[in-house]
Amino acid sequence: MQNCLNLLTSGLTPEGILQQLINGVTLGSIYALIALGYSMVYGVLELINFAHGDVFMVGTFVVLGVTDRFHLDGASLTLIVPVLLVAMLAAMVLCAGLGFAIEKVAYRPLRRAPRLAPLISAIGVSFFLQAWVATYVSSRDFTLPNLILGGIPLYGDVSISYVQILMLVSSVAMMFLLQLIVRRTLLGRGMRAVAQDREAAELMGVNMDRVISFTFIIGSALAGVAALLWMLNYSTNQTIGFIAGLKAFTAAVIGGIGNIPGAMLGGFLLGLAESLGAAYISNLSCGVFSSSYQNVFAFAFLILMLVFRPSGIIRERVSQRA
Amino acid sequence: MNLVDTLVNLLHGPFGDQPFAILAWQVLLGGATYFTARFVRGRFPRQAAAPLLVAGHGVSVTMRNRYVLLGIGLALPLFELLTGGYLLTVTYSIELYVLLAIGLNIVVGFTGLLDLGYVAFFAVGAYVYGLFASPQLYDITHRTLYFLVPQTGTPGYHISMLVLMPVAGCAAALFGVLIGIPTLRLRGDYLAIVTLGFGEITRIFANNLDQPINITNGPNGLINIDPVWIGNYSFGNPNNYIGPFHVPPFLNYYYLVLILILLTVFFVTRLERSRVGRAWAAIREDETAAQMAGVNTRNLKLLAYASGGFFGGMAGAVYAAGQHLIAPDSFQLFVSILVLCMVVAGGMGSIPGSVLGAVVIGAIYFLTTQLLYLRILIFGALLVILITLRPQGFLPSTQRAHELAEVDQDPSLGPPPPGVVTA
Repeated sequence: MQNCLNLLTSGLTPEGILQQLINGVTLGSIYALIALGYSMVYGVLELINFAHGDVFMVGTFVVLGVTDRFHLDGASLTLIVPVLLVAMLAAMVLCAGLGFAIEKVAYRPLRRAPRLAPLISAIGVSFFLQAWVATYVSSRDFTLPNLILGGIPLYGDVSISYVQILMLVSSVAMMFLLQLIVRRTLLGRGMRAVAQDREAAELMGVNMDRVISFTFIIGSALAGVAALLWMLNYSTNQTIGFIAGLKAFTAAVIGGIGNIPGAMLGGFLLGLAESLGAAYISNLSCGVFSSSYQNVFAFAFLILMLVFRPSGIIRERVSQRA
Repeated sequence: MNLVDTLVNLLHGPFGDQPFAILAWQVLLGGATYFTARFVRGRFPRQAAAPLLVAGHGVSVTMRNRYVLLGIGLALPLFELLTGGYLLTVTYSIELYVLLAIGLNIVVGFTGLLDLGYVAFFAVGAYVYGLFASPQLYDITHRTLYFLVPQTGTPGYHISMLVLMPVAGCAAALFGVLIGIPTLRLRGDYLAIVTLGFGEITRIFANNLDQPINITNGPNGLINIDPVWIGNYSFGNPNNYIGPFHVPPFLNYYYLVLILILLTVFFVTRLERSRVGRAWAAIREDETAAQMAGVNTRNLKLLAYASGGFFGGMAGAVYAAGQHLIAPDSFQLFVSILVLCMVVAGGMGSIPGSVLGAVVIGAIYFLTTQLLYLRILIFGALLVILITLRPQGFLPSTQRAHELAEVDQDPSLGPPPPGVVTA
């Protein structure tokens, strides 16, 4: 018992908690970016795009492929920044193309099929992409070298790195951009209309096929941005897409699926819960649980959320879905 | 050149190690397959077209071909033994998946609850058998409850499969109810994600419950699990002879699972036609309406999880006995997805469909083991092609097909031409 108390008090320093908060928010910002793609597609089609996480995974490999052509290790920022921008653009374009193709091949023929059919073809696409990368690219782990060094000291020896600031700023910027598209453009109005009532929207002259295609393109391009940010801080292999996608979907559900600020909020919350949980579960449970239960938090969070507040934190509209 | 090499060459095309050229080639290949299949399907009357894709129309399991099927099931392993026994292990694996598919069909097909965590039941069954039929549990109790447990004899409880199979089934059924209670309010895709979460949580716990008390032995799993034995006859003995005939272990297990499948089909068919089955169908079609009509949706949904779990647990127990060892890695999410694909590809809610789906998809999956990742690639592509060509499955349940026909046309025909307004 004494041992347990020691464990409890020794781990919980303010510096440690602050550091985990920062880590959690940055991880969450990536989840949020991927979650936006899920949320938009679900809002418009009521379909969990299981392949979305794998589009993100392909994006990370595109980023790797582009940066690999340059010797970035130790290079000056004047080279690194443009290369990273090019990598991001390449990832966005390729992901968008992939998302567009996936919708055309795997979802469009099934639009009037029983509800489970698109889910199965989504799983098929997801397997295909994973296996394709594993066979023809590589099944190893990859990381980028630390390209952007340094950070801003905050408190004690806690600091927030420039990479983390970049991740936060760009994901929030992307959210505002997306919000602008959805609220202010004709296309966005079409998306909202299809989300509310597909048939009525069609009768009003909304070109549904085009709206759905654009939804996939925008969501996948955001996954491309997320891929770049992910590569700045974490490693990749062909399996990360599934887990990242699952967590992003969780984030979308937590925030309230179908709305943009909700996906963002859900992403941040999930990131926080995960990093704090993984860091302190061992202390809080007197060593019974270890950090290998990290993935359990995301799921437990999701289950609790769905049971107690199925419409998410930010309620979009009353629906029969959950 | 053998079949595998040919397949690999076909998939790589003449492009060596250029990933994007290979991708383009494969997309071309997939597209060609898809459009050929569509063309074939469109050109011929349904009964004559590609037999796999249209087998559902006009085929019903009559008394006569029921016996033919049984005969094939009984004789199949004997032929396979002649080819060296490898095929027998494949068939045995497929059989286990048939059992799982029938069980999942109760949850997904009959009741319409999309469960992506079915592997949890399989795992629970396997671990229940593994704990009671290996030294593991004995070691724990031996150390912690030494004053209650006899300290002599061979380590392990070594309880018979005849006892443990229903116990494993009931444990999995109970687990199903436990999963079911918090998810009662959820529908559709949300339920899928939550059950998926439960499946993963189960695996993570199996992976980590070697501390603080070593229950599951962590990532190493349970070892030295007893084979099935009846009296003096051990199924796992490699030197069994019946008369002059050598009976390898997997032949025993093959017939054991065949019996289980027959029993399961017998019970599940009756369950489907019973009051319970009709209530499940009502829940599937419209839960609110079913509730208004006096169906106790809560209990019946829990019953669906429990019955689905029961068969999954039984399959898990047999699996553990056949393998002699189980590890958390055998209970990946992939298993759930594979079983769900079998159910959906076969035709949701149809028992012959589940069996056929399991056989077809299982055969594709298990016969391509040598291809490593490539088989997942083929599997993924085939999944997309099969489901887009035939979204209602190979052998759709006739009742369900009528119920699903909200739009006045065959859903396999795709969206109506532009300008046609469907109410």
